[in-house]
Parts: sequence; structure tokens; C-alpha cells
Amino acid sequence: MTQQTRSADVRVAVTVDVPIERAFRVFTERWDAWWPRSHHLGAAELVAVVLEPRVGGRWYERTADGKECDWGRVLAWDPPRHVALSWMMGIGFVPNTDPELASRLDIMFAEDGPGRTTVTLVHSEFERHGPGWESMRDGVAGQGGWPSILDAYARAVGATH
Amino acid sequence: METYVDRALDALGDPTRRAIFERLARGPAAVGQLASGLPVSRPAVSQHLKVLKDAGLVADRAVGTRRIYQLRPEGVEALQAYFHQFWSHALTQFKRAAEGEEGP
Repeated sequence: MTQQTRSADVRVAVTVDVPIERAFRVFTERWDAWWPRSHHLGAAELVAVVLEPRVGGRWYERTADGKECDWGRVLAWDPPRHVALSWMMGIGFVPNTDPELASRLDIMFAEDGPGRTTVTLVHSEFERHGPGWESMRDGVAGQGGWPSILDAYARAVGATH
Repeated sequence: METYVDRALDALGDPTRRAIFERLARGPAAVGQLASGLPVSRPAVSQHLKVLKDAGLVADRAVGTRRIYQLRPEGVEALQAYFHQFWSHALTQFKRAAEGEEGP
């Protein structure tokens, strides 16, 4: 892929041995089958993750106590190639009700041979979580520390590429 | 580099330390301020701060009689690593789910 990525983005890719339509459907509809269940906002157990399949749709969790909590909004909906979501959750999965304090997820699906799909996820715009982020970004701007840490992690997750 | 990253991620693996880290991401704070927002004692917060400090995520400075804690800029890198780890794990589970699902 040739997409431009800023140095502060998190970018992870995985290749799956399924057609692009199925990859897109499992990602956007079958959260119950793959989302790490320990990662959610409410105190009670996670029972469902819902993504409303349209631009402006809600992305939210429902927990065993019946409560719903927003995770974000659908920013782009272009099945089966691209979906973009805002990530309203505070860093480390803490609730936040201000939709403006949100980073961005772009998930891109690309055919990689027959019955094979590469899914690339880019998590970006972390600075939009709040002013604290801005100052921290300023702090690291001149250090050029990103590439080395990313290389280390790319190696660590190499098995899933 | 790897040792530093490992230690940072280990430090962030604990929910209370993650909560402290998240709180400090919003701005510097003293131990008392941190403890008041968490269901743990002040000495416990101090212990967690020590771990975060040893991991290079947090720095402290004296202001009058108080000690103020704040994230080190490098903490952002650890945070980025945290999300990278999260998404790597999530996408591995996604791969399993997608390939295991029956039907077209």
C-alpha cells in the first residue's frame, strides 16, 4: 500500500485467507467473534458491540447491566474496501461523552490474490484526545523516536503480517 | 530500546497504573490528586508511580513541598506501542474469526 502515514500513527496489517466481502463483514458485523472482550468501557460484562452501517452511524457497546456506551461514529462507509471510525474512548478504554475528543481509525481491505485479503488498520490523530496530547507531541517532535519503536514492534508482530 | 519498551508495556499492563497514566495524560498531578480519583490508597499510588517512573513513563519534580508527577514525552511512544499491541492482538483474533467462519 502506498497510503501516506504520519509518523505518529499506529499502523497494523493482517492478511486473511478469505474473500474481501467476508473479511469486511466479519470485521464490521461480528465483533462478538473477535473483539478482545476485556477491552470495553462499562463496569459490567460486555454483551454486544454494535456498528450502525452508515456514515454518521453509532459505534457502541452494550454491557450486561443494559447500559450502552459510545465508542465512536462512522466517518466513512465504503464496503467492502474502507470503513473509518472515530475513536471516542479515552486512552486505555475510559468513557468519554465528547464526540470531539476522538482519534481516528481507518480500516482498509484490499484483495491480495483469490480468496485472500489484506486488512490494514491505521489509528491516527491521537492529539485530538485533548490538550495534553498536543503538548506531548510537541515534546517528541524533534526526537525522531518513532521509527525505531515502530520497527521493533513490526518485528514483534511479524507473524501476523 | 526493547528493554525500555518491554518495561513500559509491563508497567501499563496493570489497570491501576494504566489509570494513573491516563490521568497524567490530561496533565501533571500530585500523589494526593491521583489517589483521590482512584479506589487505592496513597501509598499504593506512590508504589505505582515508582514503577511508572522506573519504566521511563513518568517524571517528577518538586514544587514547594509537593512532588508533581507528569508524563515524559517518551510516554507517548509507549502509549503508541500500547495501541499497537492492542490492535495486533485484536487483528490476530479477527483473522481467526474470519477464517473460521462457515459459508461465503
